Amino acid sequence: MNDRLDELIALAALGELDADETTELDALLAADPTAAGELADALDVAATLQSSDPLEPPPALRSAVLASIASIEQLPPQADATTGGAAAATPPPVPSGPVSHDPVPIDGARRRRRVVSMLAAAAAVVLIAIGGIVVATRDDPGDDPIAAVLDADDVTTRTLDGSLGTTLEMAYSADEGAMVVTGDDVPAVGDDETYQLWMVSESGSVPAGTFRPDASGHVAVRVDADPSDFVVGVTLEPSGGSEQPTLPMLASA
Amino acid sequence: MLLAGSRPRSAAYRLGLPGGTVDPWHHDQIRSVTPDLTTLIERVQHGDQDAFAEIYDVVAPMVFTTVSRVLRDPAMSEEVTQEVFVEVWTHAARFDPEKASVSTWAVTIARRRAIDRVRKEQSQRNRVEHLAQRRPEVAPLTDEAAVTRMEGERVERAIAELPPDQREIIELAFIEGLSHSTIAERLGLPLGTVKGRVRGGLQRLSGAIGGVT
Repeated sequence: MNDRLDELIALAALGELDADETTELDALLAADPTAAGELADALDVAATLQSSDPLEPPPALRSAVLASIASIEQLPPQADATTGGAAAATPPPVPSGPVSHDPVPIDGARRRRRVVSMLAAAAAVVLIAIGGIVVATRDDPGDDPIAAVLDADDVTTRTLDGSLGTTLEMAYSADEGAMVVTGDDVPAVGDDETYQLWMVSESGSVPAGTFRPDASGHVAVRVDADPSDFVVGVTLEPSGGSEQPTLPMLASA
Repeated sequence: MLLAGSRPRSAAYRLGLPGGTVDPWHHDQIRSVTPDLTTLIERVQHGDQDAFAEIYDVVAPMVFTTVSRVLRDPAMSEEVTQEVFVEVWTHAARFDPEKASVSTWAVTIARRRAIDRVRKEQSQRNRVEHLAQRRPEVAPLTDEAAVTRMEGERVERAIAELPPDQREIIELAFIEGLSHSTIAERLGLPLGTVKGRVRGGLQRLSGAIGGVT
């Protein structure tokens, strides 16, 4: 054992390894045959501690999860076979492709209620219908999915305007297969509220992800979707988002 | 091991979360029993959504609990729980049963994503306000409540036997769900000291709250 290895194992258990530290830990694991067991042991104890006195997730969450994975492509096995336990603990950033997905929003009004399975099944049907739309939030700063769209050669932009108090810029790149919505001075929302993006057409509104401004009012959100045939709009919704927009549209284009 | 929920769940969980005092990473003994998370994840690796649903049923309480400890906010906890399971789905082929159990893998993803969310969504001050004002609004598991309580007590006892300096930090990190930098700030300790005590505490606990499968 060495101090640095111990430190990195502690960070892995805390869920706080950054990309460089993950690489560093992988290298240490490869060099030390006992280290993988040490890491595994630490993660296992941490998992046991954190999941003691378990809470029951809301039943509606199950159908939302199962609906969202139904339309999401799985990644191939790791290309680099030498990556070890740290990779198992903290999957490395995804390089490219239609792979970085956040779930479709779940129905806000229903979330805390225990519902019977029939209702859950009904929710699943709704979500499957919109399952192609997913929000991407990639965490690795070295692989900036926002910049990838903004800097794309084929980028086109629109300005979303309305009663929001500021305008939002929407950039779309067909090469990236994604749009990015950015804005400054976006009004703060309550803890139990969120902004939600919609792709609106004659046949209805498709949810396209939720976002909140950061402390300074800045917004930058990427959505892996093609808004070309849609009006893009923003509403204020209960935290977690809704299945149908709560009017008014605060900004649209 | 901690038990979570109703019948197929408990057996699988007990077996799916290794960490016994004897050869905790040896999974052969698991394979003779169903449902078995390792077998299920192999099916998920081939795109089997039914197997994924079974894994969800076993692991969701653990994931949701882990996320709720960090985030405190029920709505946000649900969002992040959903993200965690999407990652379990997309990254299933990269799961290595030699490195961790499915449960530990999922809980580790949960912790990381919840911490990321805290960093992304909230200023530190908001977070402290949340902590002061909110507890998760969801009900504890009622199924097998007695067993769950017993397991919780076992964890509590093990934590209580830690040296006080480790105990405080283990509780703040894994029961209260705080990041190590928040702990360091709150206690006025160097980051390295916090990390060291997390590591030491986990090492000391590994014998005490491993097995009984």
